Amino acid sequence: MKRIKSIISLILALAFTGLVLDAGVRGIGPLPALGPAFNPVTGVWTMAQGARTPRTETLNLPGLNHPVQIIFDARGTAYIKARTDHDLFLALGFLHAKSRLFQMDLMRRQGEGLLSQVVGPAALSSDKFELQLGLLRTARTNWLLMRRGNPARQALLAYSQGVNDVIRQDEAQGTLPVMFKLLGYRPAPWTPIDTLVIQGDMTQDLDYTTAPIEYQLLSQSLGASRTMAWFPIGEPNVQHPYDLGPYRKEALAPIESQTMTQVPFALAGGIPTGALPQSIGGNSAQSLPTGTSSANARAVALSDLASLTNAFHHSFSDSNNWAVSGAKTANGEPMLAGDPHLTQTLPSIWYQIAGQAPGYHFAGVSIPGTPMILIGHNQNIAWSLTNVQNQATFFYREKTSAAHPNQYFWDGAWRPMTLVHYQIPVKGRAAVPLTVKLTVHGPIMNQSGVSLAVDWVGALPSSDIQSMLGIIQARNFQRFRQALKLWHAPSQNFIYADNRGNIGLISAGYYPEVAHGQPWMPLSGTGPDDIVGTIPFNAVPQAYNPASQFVFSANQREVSNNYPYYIGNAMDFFSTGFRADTIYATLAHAKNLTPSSFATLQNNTQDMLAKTMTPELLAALRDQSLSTLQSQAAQLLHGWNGTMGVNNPQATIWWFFINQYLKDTFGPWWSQDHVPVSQDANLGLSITTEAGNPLTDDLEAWTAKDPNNPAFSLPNGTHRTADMVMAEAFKQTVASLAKKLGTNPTQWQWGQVHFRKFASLAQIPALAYGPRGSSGDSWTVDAADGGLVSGAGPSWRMIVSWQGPGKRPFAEGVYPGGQSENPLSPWYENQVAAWWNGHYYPMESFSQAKRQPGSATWTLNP
Amino acid sequence: MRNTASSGMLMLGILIGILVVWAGETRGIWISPLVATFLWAVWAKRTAWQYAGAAIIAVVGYAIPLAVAARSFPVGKAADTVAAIMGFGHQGIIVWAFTFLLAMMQAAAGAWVGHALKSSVHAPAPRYSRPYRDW
Repeated sequence: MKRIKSIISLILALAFTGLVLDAGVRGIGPLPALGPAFNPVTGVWTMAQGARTPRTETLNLPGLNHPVQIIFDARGTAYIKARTDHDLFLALGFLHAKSRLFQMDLMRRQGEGLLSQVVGPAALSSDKFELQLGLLRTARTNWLLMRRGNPARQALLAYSQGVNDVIRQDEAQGTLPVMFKLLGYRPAPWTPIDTLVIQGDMTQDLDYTTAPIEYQLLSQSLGASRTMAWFPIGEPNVQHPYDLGPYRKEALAPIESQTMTQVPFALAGGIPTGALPQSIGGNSAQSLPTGTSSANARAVALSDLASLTNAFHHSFSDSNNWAVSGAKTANGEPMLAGDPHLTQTLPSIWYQIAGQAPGYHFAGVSIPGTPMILIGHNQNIAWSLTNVQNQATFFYREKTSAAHPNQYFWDGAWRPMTLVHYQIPVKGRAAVPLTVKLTVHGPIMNQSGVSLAVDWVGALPSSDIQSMLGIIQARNFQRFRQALKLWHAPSQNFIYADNRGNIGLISAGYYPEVAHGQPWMPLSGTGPDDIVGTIPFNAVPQAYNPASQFVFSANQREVSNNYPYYIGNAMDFFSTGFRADTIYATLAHAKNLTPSSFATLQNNTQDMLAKTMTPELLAALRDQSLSTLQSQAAQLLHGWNGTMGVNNPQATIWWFFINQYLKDTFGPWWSQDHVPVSQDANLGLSITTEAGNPLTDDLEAWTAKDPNNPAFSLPNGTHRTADMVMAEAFKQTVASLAKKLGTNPTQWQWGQVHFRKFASLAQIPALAYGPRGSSGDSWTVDAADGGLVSGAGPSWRMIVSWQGPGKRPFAEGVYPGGQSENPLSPWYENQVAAWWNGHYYPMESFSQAKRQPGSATWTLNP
Repeated sequence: MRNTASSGMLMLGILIGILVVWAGETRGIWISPLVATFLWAVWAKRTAWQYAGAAIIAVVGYAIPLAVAARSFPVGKAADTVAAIMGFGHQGIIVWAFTFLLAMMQAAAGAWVGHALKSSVHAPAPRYSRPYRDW
């Protein structure tokens, strides 16, 4: 009897052990696998150890040819000194992975459609979107096109080796970043294709747009006439193009290569990567469900887009850079500034480094996952980037027929679509199959009814890494320009200043042109509307040592209206030009500029539209009967210069007023014509939406010069003028603010309603910074994008002041974040305070960093 | 003397168990408490000692590396941050609880299986069959 009891006890004990093991291996409910996650030595607790800043020590790094030294200054900036270029790139991969491995993995997963594998079905729509768009296909093509001997190929291989050294070490020591442990997975080995996918992420972030779909929706609701009047090709307000011509009209240049789809393959060394397609074929797939209307098809595409993480969907059109010649500086030498505006996250998109090797000598900021700096300086030149904003995405309505399944009509014949089959792994569920249909134009982003193929420049191979390596090595403008000929996407305004007194700006990249059709709308897919080439490099916007002694870009249209090529329209998505106005006004007549002058301009929070339109508003109120509260609010605006300071109540009144003015002007038309805002949020009436951008340009132009524009009147024919709408909007604004903030307008400070928030890249609220009351708005040079809780803005501020030939420049920079992705590290957000207060840190050399108190040195031995 | 010797053996057994747990943890073998407490339970004689010793082995085996780490690193803050990432606010106590719950569950499982296995292979002798001095 006792033995039976013992056996029963044993069975129960084994069952209990099974439950314990199950909890340890698979977790309980939403909890991660308890065993590996909470093991005291190799589980989440290693986060504490990983928070330690580097100490001076010697480490082994397989793959190096010679010892490498890395110095960390007290803020975490890394300075690499290597004896071969190979070692420099390998050490950079090692550094990036040491500090940002989870960020790098997240970014490659985003582009490769592998987020669902680690976060579950919530990311499925994002993965489907990315696999349809094809960043992975493009990255693989890019890699295949890199021949042996290509410096980018060498850099990528060495860099990958450095990353993989860290992955191996972390796995062996149980010190992978905490997020891997909580999500319960291990990072796959890094490959060059992963880096190229991250290049694709950035291209998508900066270049992908659905503006043609929005134009079509607007045209269908408002009518073609009003759509083109309110959303014109050229902006109605006065802008400041940097390239004033004369312009060259040359024959279009061919676009070098079209999207290619390769069969699955493994890299040399047998490292597979990404959600490789299971199979590729033509006209052989199973029949796929079809929908009923093109409107339905568009809705599907837009809902997919909405599912993207914010970091990789271009919603905002901001960045600044400028350079002045020695004629405008105190020391008589050129000076350059750059502040790219991107989604601000923790960790930041940037990692600051300096590097020295036989072929390279640079300082600047890099994107983790890529083997070079993107913005910075070498010993002879400095450069920075802004987005060109030209149209890079074209949509095609493919002609299909039930009689020709999986075919499309193009160039006079029915053609088979290429079908690419994927299996998307989903955490906790069965893999989800996805078939992507490819036409000559690109992937079809849905299969419902009339098809829309996406011809996106970012899907073309682009030698960005090779181009950037060329820039980093350039010693003069000719070499800089030569290197930029390889840059195709995303098109960027590369600003330049060198130590020999020269400045310049080149808007490099592909500018696709169609021979027929309206490219700002969905085009016919049958052939005549196809892209036929790109603006040749010699004819793209550019300037070198202009008579004005300065060059600048702030996402305004780079050229005048007489530029002989189509490069994009008001909604796709050239800036309103207000930041450009401020920069132009500051630099045009400036003399004796210093780095401090540039810092002041980079941190400028004056809204130029507010400055110019407030007097017009006050004039409109002059004959109005105002309540006491309205008079008090109006009185505050008298003499205000448009500064969106955190303590300015005027900024609050202005911001809510301009939004209300926009709504009061166009809202009645939106209601009458049923503009499908619910279908496409980009069409919403707000100054922060894509549609709001050109409409604000309209308001600026019409208020000043066309106050009787028919748009101000109501659709039922009731006549209104700009003054009448402004006055009404002002009264509504005051009433709304009184309700929200009380009846004392002096207490309506901007910082009470306007915040900045630096979200965690993994969208974990506890790891974010803010929200914190902030100055600025979308149109200030120190931009705060995204409305009342801004999540985007200057992601890096840099100033480089040349000191003459052969001399090291004075350079300084800062970004809102820190070098480490470990939230416990002192370097997680240690630069935020300086960034917030408009301060900068010097960008030093290796030897300067070595002398700094508090620096540490790693000696990496082969 | 025999009681002292017996106690010494028990202490030694527990110490070895703790070392086994620690050694396993450092190699990422998170089931080391399960293994150590199972072996302990098979070796130890009395039921009370089997379970109490297993608990000590697992808890101390988990606590020592954390205590060592806490001398140099912000272990408490790590717990708070991990809790925040997991959506529990900054309640680091929850992460501590999960960690020691993992240890205790393994200790319970290991001791129970060890005890049951031992009992089923060698059915326990009647309690009073042993001489008084062995009590």
